[in-house]
Amino acid sequence: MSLINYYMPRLKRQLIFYPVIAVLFYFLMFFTLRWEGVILISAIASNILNVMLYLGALIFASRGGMEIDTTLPVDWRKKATLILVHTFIIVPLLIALPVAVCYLLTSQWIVINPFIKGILQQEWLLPLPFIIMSIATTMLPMAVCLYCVVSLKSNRVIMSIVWTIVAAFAESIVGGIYGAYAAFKQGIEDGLNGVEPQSSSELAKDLMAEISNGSTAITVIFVICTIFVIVMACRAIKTRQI
Amino acid sequence: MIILNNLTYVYRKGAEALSNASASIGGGIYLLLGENGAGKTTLLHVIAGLLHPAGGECLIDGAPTSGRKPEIMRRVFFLGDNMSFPFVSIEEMTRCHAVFYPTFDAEMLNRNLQRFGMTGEERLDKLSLGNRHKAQLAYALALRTEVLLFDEPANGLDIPSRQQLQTMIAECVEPRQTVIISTHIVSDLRNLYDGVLVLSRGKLLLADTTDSLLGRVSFTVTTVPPVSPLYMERRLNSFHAILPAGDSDESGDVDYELLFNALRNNVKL
Repeated sequence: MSLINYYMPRLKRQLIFYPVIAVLFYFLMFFTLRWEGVILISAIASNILNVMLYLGALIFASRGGMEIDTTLPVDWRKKATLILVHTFIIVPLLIALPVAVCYLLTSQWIVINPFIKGILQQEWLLPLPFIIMSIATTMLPMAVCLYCVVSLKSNRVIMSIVWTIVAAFAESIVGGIYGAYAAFKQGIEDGLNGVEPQSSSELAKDLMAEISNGSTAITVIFVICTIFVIVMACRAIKTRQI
Repeated sequence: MIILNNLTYVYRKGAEALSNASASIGGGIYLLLGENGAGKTTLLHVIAGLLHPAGGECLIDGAPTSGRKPEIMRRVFFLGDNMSFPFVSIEEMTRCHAVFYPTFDAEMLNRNLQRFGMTGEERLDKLSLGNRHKAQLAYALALRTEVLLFDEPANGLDIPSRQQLQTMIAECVEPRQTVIISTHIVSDLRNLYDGVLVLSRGKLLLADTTDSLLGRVSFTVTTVPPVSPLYMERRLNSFHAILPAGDSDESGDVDYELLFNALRNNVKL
């Protein structure tokens, strides 16, 4: 309890601002869902929320006080547990919970543009492996940010942001390369089998099915990387020197 | 009791900041002397558990500080030069940080802050460097930890504040506490020291109490050069010398600058 109390002055800002921003974005989407332009707005909003998730651990990088944090008479396991729980559970909930509550309260008044409705009804859009991969890809930059915050000795805020962006960018490159490979493979196979060109929605469905075959492997790689970075972060919390 | 056993600290680039430093430091206020880059701050960081030694160990009541066990860490507090607290005010620091230190004395903190004309509610980031430092010193002393480590505590303080700090340290520190003060300006807290640690180029040249030191040598100021001094310096028209104890009828307080220069010149005391 005293440890939560110790970090509370820093966490307080996040505990207030994250839900407020999440709710603002929810209502932005709520009022724009009736227009086709919501695709662009939702892309921007989800990217901003993702960045907020990635950089959740930055709250532990106070400008000063590294000596005070390091010599705080608390077992490192307790410190690590609190930091990990906050970064990987509390921060996502700060965004997801207010949005869920708002959705429950306002869902009956949501008016969706027919074109958007059509897209949302595509069953290939959100299969379970993609949801799991999406969580895994979000967790890796979060872990990288946390590791930088607890291990860097100088320019902790700026360098943590830089490395988090690098991690997210690296993930995008891996995803992009795999997507291109899957599309290429699908095209070659279709050509060899003499399959006629299909409608765009069927083509997308086939392509997503092809990608989901390899998504498990990518997810496992991201999860392993995330676990590795988390272990490194715990080690840094235990042995950090100034 | 702080025990340094062949303590060695090496920077990443291979430079040795501390080399086989050994000492037993009991209760009292110790002056830590050394030239720039001698390893003073590194020594304080190692004692505080902020740096892990490359060799040897630093023990507080038998437990190594590098392990940063909570039961040891709650008995040590390090206040560095230009260090910032991760809290808005001393009041917030008291609420969130002092609870980890069972020896913390809130009344002492209020007294110390009042002495500097503060309440503890002031925002630390709005205070001048000197005032921020005063507030931090008031807080550090009120923690009453067994080991208190100060790096340049008088830095940024004006003359009245330096005098207040001297009085405050004298009033707040109990015999059970070990306070190590690293400073270049020896005169600031001259009358407080019970012991002295001298570091030069990473080597701990001396770690002794002033009583023990004055039992072996005496410090004199004369207008004529003394006979067979251990070490002597001419300053304006007087001769400042270190003599073997008993060779001089008058012995003054420890002249720390003279002592430091003597040790740097390999004089055996």
